[in-house]
Amino acid sequence: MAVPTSRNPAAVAEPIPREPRTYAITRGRVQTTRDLRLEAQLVPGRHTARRPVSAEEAQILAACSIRSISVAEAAHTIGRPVWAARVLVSDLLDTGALAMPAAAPAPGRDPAVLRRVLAGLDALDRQP
Amino acid sequence: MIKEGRTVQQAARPTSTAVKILVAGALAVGKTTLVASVSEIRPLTTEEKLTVASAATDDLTGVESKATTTVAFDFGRITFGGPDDLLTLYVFGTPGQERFTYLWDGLAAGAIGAVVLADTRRLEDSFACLDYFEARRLPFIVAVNEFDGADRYHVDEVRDALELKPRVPVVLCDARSRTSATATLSALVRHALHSLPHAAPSPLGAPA
Ligand SMILES: Nc1nc2c(ncn2[C@@H]2O[C@H](COP(=O)(O)OP(=O)(O)OP(=O)(O)O)[C@@H](O)[C@H]2O)c(=O)[nH]1
Ligand SMILES: [Mg+2]
Repeated sequence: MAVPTSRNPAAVAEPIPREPRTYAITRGRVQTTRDLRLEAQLVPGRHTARRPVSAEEAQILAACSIRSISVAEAAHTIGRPVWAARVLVSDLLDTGALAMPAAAPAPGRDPAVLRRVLAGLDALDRQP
Repeated sequence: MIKEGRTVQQAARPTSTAVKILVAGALAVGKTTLVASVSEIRPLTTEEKLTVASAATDDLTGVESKATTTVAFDFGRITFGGPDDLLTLYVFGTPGQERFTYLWDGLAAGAIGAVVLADTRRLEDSFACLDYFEARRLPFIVAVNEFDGADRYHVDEVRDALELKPRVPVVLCDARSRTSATATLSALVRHALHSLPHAAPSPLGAPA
């Protein structure tokens, strides 16, 4: 069977132009000083309506009010690249509209966390 | 660092721990299929912009140049535990294998490890990916995605062909099967646990 692709389909050479431009949404900013990993969890903060939020910020706040979401999910929610989500999330953390729940500093290397993941996966595996 | 009052408030809040596993490998090797098989939601897609340092040898001027590329990637989610002690496992399918994608250290940072999917009809396509995880010292396993019509090999033959260290697990998998894909993730987590510097062999109680 032939390999369906000859070049990398994952590389989007020219992102589809969206209105408004992603740069407009982040007000020209492309990065933040915060280290926000893709999986970093976001929950509603204590100060919900300190200032008017943009449509995208409102979407992120609404999504995390149901359950905690990750930075990657925030990006998917607003339909914008991860870098843009990081800028908005960082702003919302600054104003207190978003918070990051306390978590183990390095859960990916925490044996207790890994054992919990393993037990969870093995339980799934036994389900029909 | 943290004010007294805030610590108390945060302690009262539910915890939400998140970890991730990467699913990597050559183009069209079944990464998205595996993510979809294990995920409890339909996989989500998003994009990230990467800075690419192009190899000097590819450049007529001989000067290393930098460029920006946008890559799309997909990810799924499995949640364990209740709302008070949520544990979420994210499974990220890395973009199709091109060297630049492995400059994406932000993706790998903090990961439990990686499943490198391999197709026995083109094992050599896995090398760049294996080199990357080896260099980053991220725990990884090789999962041979058994495509229909591909010759069947013993895991040791695959190990030899890929020149893997003896401690790297090699498993067979069918990325389309939830049971098989989930067992593949388990194999990685087990390997990651054994790779921890002072992994306590006892399953009881977390080490202090
Ligand atoms: N027979 C068989 N086909 C598979 C298996 N896994 C994936 N496929 C098929 O192989 C093709 C490629 O699978 P994808 O999951 O899209 O591969 P990918 O690695 O995400 O591809 P890129 O993102 O383009 O690099 C699809 O047509 C799948 O249906 C498998 O275990 N067996
Ligand atoms: Mg894919």
